[in-house]
Amino acid sequence: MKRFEHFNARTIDEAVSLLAKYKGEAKVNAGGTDLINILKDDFFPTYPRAIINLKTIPGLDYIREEKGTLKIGALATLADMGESATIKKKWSLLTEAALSVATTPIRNYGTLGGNLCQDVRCWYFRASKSAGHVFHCLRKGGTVCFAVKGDNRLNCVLNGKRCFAVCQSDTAVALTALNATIVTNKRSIPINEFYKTLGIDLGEDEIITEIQVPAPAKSAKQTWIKFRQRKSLEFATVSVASLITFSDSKVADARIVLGAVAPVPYRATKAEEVIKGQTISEDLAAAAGEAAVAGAKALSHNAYKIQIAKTLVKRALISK
Amino acid sequence: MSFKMVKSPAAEDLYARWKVLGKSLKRVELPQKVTGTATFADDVILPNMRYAKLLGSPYAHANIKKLDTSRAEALAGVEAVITYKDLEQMGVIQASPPYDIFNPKLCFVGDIVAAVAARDESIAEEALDLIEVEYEELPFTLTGAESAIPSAPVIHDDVPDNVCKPVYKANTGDMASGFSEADVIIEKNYRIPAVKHMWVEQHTSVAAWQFDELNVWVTSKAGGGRLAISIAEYFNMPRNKVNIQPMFLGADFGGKNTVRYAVIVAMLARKAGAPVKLRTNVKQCLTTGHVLDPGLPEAKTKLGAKKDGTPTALDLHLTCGQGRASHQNIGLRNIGDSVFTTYRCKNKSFLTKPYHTNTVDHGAVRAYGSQAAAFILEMITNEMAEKLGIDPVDYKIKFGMQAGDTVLMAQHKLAGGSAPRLVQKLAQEVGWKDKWKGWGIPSEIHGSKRRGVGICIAQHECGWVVANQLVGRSSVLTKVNLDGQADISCNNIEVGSGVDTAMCMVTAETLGIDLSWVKKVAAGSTGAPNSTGSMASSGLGTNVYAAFKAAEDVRNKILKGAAVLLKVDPKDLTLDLNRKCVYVTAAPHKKTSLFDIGIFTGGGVLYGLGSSAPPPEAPDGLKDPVTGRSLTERGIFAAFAELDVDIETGKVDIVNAVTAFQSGMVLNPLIMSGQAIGGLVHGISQMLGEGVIYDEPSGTPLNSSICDYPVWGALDAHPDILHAFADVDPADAPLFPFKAKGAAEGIYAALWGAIPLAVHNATGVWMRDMTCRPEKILKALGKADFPVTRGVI
Repeated sequence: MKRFEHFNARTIDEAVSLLAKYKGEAKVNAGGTDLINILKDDFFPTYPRAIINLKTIPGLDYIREEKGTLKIGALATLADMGESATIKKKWSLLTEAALSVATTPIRNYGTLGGNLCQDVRCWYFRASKSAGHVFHCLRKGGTVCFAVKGDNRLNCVLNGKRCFAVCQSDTAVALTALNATIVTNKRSIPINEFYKTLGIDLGEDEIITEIQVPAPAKSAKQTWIKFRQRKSLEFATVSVASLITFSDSKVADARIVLGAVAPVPYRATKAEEVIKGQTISEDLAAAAGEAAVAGAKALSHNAYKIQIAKTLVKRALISK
Repeated sequence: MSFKMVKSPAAEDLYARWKVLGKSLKRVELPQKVTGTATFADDVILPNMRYAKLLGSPYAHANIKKLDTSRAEALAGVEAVITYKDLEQMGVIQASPPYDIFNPKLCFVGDIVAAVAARDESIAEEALDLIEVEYEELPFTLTGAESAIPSAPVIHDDVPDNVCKPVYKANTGDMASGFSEADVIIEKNYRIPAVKHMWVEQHTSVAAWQFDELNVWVTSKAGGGRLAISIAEYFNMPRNKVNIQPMFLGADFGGKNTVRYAVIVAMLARKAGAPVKLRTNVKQCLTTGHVLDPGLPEAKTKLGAKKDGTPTALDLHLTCGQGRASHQNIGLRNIGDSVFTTYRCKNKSFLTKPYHTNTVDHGAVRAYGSQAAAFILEMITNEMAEKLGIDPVDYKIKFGMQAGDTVLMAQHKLAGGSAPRLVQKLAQEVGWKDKWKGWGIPSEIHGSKRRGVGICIAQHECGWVVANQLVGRSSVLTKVNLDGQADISCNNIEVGSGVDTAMCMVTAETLGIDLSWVKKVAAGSTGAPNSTGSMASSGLGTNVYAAFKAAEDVRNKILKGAAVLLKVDPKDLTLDLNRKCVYVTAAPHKKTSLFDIGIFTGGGVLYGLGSSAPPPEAPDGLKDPVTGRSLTERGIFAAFAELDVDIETGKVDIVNAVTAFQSGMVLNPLIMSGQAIGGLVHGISQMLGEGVIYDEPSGTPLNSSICDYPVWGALDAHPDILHAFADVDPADAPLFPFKAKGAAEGIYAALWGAIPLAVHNATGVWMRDMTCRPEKILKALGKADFPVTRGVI
């Protein structure tokens, strides 16, 4: 790691004013499980001049229900979320997603705000200076996405454009299915507007303070499936979060979101259309799986993700 | 997790006679390790110490046109910068091959351009950015096939044809007539990825000069003696002025034998005039260490057989990319050994075409060569057995190697062991007959999951070859203190294999004392007897054998001394260290104390010296009386895998895996089961997904983190699915002392054959590109269009 200024922020205002002062040359630390790697691997064109530690801001790690809305402070850890009875009672999808992140030590440090703001895992983007080669890719101000002509088995199959990295935040996928709102020191943003192809929609002097999640209907079926090769420490190859509400055993409403297949959490609206008003059967679930990946376009090495994505959607719908 | 030992009557008899050996005793270094007081290289902090960072090449192949370190040197806190220019100035002699420390020509992404020592790691890292380098980018190659073509870029100027020597080839019999006798001939190609050791401790080195003497603390398994020799050669200094300090090691698996980092920190320390520490990270270990030899081989295999399966001719032709440099291509030699050992066949041909490539070096990785051979040989024989409709277990029983067979490039005769017997016992143990439903037929179907079973035999060096080479000479100094307790000294390195415990156990057994009465001294390269280190599963034949000889020597000296005092023949005496005395066997009341013997014979010290030369029980090289061929020992292994393949996602889940071995007596079942289960995890993890993935346009390794390189973690290695099985008979290790041979490496090789067979039986497809990653399985099943990259998998 190179040298940088370090500040322990005491308040949100202090953190934000420091961010403003450094004009984009400071990074915040909300747990550090991604940040420390970025600092060690030194793959951005410029190194941050300052690190602003948010963990010293008191009272931002709450998890509570207020009038049917779940409110989670940005500094609540993934471990706390996994253990929270409040979340588990009505938002079990989020419990499962939080517990599926990385490993126990990482969940003990990692926070919800940090998990939502983590950068992509594309190995071209992350190639470390300490190992020799850094790719000055489009995401860092370059002109090329190196994954397109390289080994793109981890890259996107849906909505790829210019940069083909995928959003790897598990909680983002779950919270998109749960229709959450992200609250910053400046505004409230529906989560589906928060993610953009080249990164998150957060200003230079803006930080997430809270995540609000409306309560799903009591009858809603919530499902989280994360597909990965190993049980230990691995980002999703593909994930799916689904929230299905029923009326007389027919699907009244559905929100199906795929992770790790697109630059942002991908709402599979075509799959939702297939099942709305229907009784879920094995065949219907399979048809929804096919619809979920309609329009998918594989790069040279990642067609397998399409197969896995449609399988996961099918399994999410027929799971008990 | 279980470890089952099936013992022959002869084994039971031997175990009954042993008091210390054969018991599940805890490791001697356990207290230090579990209390966190064991010292590893990164624990070393010296006064005034400086910290180093390395500048890696951004290009796979480039000439350094211009190199200016002045801005880096000017940065406050920087104490030394070194590059290839310093080699001559500092009188450092690059050993052969002549491109191992610094070179003006860079041969792979991450190849070391320069090193900086500074007051702290941050300053050193910043200084790297200030080193101005002008590179001339050169075309590069990533595979042997690319390096072979006449227009390929030349990687080393003194090797214009890119051939990475030595080139191994061997023939026996008559291939043409072998193939003409065959009823069926099949030809298949297989490929293997570059797997990495994936240890917990990365390369770390500390060097400190005291005037003209060099102290080194380093993560090396080479053993103080061997490492001191090679460092002394680099600096053209006497060996007695290089002191390699003893260290615990956070695993080795073949990767901790490089001296590159130690030489670099020693150069930095000399230039900075202060001790220097270098810590590498996982990414640098993947990019500047070494990976598996054979390097990304493309194996062209041809097998001829009679209708009953009898192999008539086996041809294996390997084209490999061995990287910038290989470690003498020993992995390739090991494949050759396997070809000429594993299955009986009169006509065999083995040819390697190793080439330099612009990738990291290829060298030792636990059982290197033998696991690759297990994959290739099992694939081709399985594909043949499938064609002929023969049960794989029957095939192995009929044609597998056993004692008396001609093995190892046809030069030797196998002294002990029987793969047919081992595979038969394993098949019975796992219930093969009930589980095996036929070729390509799942044993069970649950929804989208297809269960398959696979079985494999393999073999590997067990320490015999090393013990019979000059490099395999170890020596041990054993001191019996006047309180009856002993300490043993040798500058070997305990890499985690349990060799120190085994050395103490044979000492305790020989001297008739409890293991707790034997202390293994942590010894550096100077002042302690030299060891060959820990390599090629040779610990039993080298370090442990030397400890035995040393214990015998000190016992004989004590008895001789007592004989003089008691005025009797030494052979009439019994040593009783527990009572600190020697007595006349027939008249126990006639005795003399250890104290008197010590004072009388050795001025207070009773010591013995033992060496592993000449090799165990083969003073003149044992010859087979009929053929005249020298006898040899190999470790014989087998494995069973039962797994589920999800045909909708391509995911493989291991249900049950058993590693089986036949290595004579098991000297410590507790340590052996740890080795076996560890080996099992290694083998499964590699087969399910490991391998360095290179970016073809730039030659950059892409998956160089634990997140992206799918080595198994604790959550994957569930104890319920992992089992070990030992077929124990002293007759299987006839040439070794204690009738026990090394098994730590080969123990995982067989997994490389068992898993692909299980996947085949589950799905009907053969994974000829080895790793069973979901993307590859789905492609093989026709469920994903997944183009194969340019020779790199």
